[in-house]
Amino acid sequence: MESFPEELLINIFSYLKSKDIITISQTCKRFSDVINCSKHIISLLTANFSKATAKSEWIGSREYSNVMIAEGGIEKFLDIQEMFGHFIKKLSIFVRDLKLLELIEILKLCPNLKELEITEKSPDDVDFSTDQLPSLNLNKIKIHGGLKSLKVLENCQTKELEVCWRPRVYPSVCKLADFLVTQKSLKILKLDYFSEYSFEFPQILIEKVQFRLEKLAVRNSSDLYILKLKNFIDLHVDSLEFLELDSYGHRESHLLQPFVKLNSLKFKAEYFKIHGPVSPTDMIFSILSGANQFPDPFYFNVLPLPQIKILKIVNLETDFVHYSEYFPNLEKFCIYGREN
Amino acid sequence: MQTIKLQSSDNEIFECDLAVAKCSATIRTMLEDLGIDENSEDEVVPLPNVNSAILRKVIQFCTYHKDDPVPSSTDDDENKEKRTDDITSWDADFLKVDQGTLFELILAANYLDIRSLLDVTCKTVANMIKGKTPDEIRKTFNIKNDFTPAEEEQVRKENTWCEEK
Repeated sequence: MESFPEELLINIFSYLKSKDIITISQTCKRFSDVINCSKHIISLLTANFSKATAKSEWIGSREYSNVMIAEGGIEKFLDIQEMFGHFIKKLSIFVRDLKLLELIEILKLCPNLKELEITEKSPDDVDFSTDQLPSLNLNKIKIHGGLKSLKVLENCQTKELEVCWRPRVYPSVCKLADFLVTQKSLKILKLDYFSEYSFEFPQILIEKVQFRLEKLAVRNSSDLYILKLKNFIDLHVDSLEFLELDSYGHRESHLLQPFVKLNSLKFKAEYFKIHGPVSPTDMIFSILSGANQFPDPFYFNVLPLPQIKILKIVNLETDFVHYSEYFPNLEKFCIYGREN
Repeated sequence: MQTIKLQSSDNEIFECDLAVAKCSATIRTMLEDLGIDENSEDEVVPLPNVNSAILRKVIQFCTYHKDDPVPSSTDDDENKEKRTDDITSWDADFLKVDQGTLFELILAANYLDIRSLLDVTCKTVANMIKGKTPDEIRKTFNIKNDFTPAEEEQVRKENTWCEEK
């Protein structure tokens, strides 16, 4: 049988379920090669639970790296994933009534997971002890909706966290701060639809923060709420390379600390002051949509801004010529969102 | 009824119904493309990849199945879960043969492009694999374990969760 042409072996193996396929790949090199090289077999492997409930994507040898569980798919997924949970690198879960205990079970079966995306709608409220929780070393966590699932992730470490609140989902907040103090190596934090209800970060917790961010983005938030973040942002003046503060509102301008490593800053310039020397070599400086005019020079404590080499401006209404003197070393300049 | 002569690799001539021979897409194509005259009494279709014992079995299978409906488009099948428990009792009896014959039937079905025979023979082999350990599979099919000990260790490591079950 080893001498059968590949297409015949694939035909035979395609009648097998995942466990038998894995077994037969252990019998000899020829079968192992055929199976590892066959996209067709891998798609059949995952098809058992993927029909209408989830899909998978083939990336490399033996990796079902990208798996999505949609509505109704959890039970089927739990059935089969123990065969190949080790393969899963990226997992996305879009389930309306997510059960946190099921989430724990799923995560425990995926020890090599690197990226996790959860869309929370109405997860249940259930108590569990922290030693039940999975300990994963992740590159990225992305959570939409509420934040209850963060409770499940408190024994996990991640390099990146992206949180997107659904507007006006207020219950289940306050979990973010609890989660953040468990993190040791977080580098990137993105907060979307951040609001006053989303984030309580009392000073006592700020003192416990162990990580230093390289990138921070706060989007679709009121500047008032960003003010609440000020103490938190100040923690990262020595490490932050990228800062995006995209807010609405007219309350007051913000004083930004002199960031040591900052090389990219995005904000609605009307509402923010740069305070003290920023000294990056390259700077991408964007005024996000909504800003009607270039920032008043008053907002820059230090002018001109010789360090800025790259300038991108969005939605500038007035003529840039008025301001060009502030940027003597500009090498690249573009304007978006305006005719001519 | 029109008949056609098929010649096996060991030069035995089989005369069979044209409809039976046409279960094989390969023979159909040969007749159409190569312009072999279907009415010619003396014309013989050579099948150098199939010996007489296997050809006899193939003709037996096709004679029994010649009136089966043609399966619907193959694209749909791709997404369907493939079943192996739907082998009819006639087919199961037909395939009660030694392993060598079964493999030769698979190769012949592949060469002659007879979909129904290929499916049922592949299912039969799949059923022989199911639920066995790697060692049992090697024994069943007389497969040589050509992994070096290091490779085997590696493969085992990658699949430990499998063996715990």
